[in-house]
Amino acid sequence: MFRPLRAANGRLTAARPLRHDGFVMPLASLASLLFLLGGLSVQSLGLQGRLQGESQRRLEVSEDRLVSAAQMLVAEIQLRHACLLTLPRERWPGAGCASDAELTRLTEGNVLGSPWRLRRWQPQAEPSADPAQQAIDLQIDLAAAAGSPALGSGFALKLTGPPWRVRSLLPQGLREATP
Amino acid sequence: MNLIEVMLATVLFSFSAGSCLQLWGLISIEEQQQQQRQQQAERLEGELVSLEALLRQQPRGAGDLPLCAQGRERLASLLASQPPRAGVQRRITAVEQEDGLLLELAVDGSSLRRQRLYRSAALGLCLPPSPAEAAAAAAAPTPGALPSPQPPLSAPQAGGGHGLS
Repeated sequence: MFRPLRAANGRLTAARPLRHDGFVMPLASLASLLFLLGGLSVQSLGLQGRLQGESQRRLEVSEDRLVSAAQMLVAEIQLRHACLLTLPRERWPGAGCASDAELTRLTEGNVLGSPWRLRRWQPQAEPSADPAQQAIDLQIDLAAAAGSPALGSGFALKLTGPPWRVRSLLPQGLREATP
Repeated sequence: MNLIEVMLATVLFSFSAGSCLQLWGLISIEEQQQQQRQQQAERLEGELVSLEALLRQQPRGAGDLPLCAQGRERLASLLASQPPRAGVQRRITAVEQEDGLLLELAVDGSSLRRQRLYRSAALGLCLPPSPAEAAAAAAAPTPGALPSPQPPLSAPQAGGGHGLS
């Protein structure tokens, strides 16, 4: 793989290796490496997109369950234990309109196959400008599912009255449940 | 440069290029499926949002509302009053509670679905019983556990079906 060099005066000089000799294999290796890296990066992007999609689906399922749990809880209180509507959760045991077993059912349960727990039921401290309106801060948590953190949601519950009855129940968005 | 080197390089290049093309093809198919699922999920979310907006817009004056004992019929008629979006299946099923419904949404040809329980009393769409009636109701046996996940929307469900549009 040496080629003699001809000097300007026409005489042969010492031979030296060709620079372009054997360039095909390194070139093919480099191209293969680039293909490999490109493929891996595209695959990781695809995987990331799929994981994001699955995560989004899990959030939607959690949101559906939290909304369902809030609907069930608020309706049960409205229909069977209306005296609890305007009381903070801590005062429910002494309110006298629900037994211990009923209070337990009002503070934890199972909806659409997922356990939930009442975290907070708190009437707003400041009196409303309209005495016929009352706002409740409601928070419900779901139990953690395998591989995903426990999620909860706040709800704005608005009452009208007295006698107090539910006017609206609006979800306030998901959040990570704290222990 | 010799023939063996060229052949080896050609084999290496062909193999890596072929594998890479195959990988790109698979990923692009998966990406399309992912986009399709995302669009289907957005369609379901849009359907859910528009149905809940419809429920929120209903008048809530005492004179406009039925008793909660008839709350389920009112809720079902409200949900059925809005036609589902194209490609969206909607099923409304009665649940154990007197004013409750299970709303299930699915997209044709997809495993994606959404399901939510609604109760008239929690939406402010019915008049609760008087305190005396409520006390009597509280003394009566209460329903057991809340509903568990339902079978897929496409599967026929025994009893309680309130209509599928």
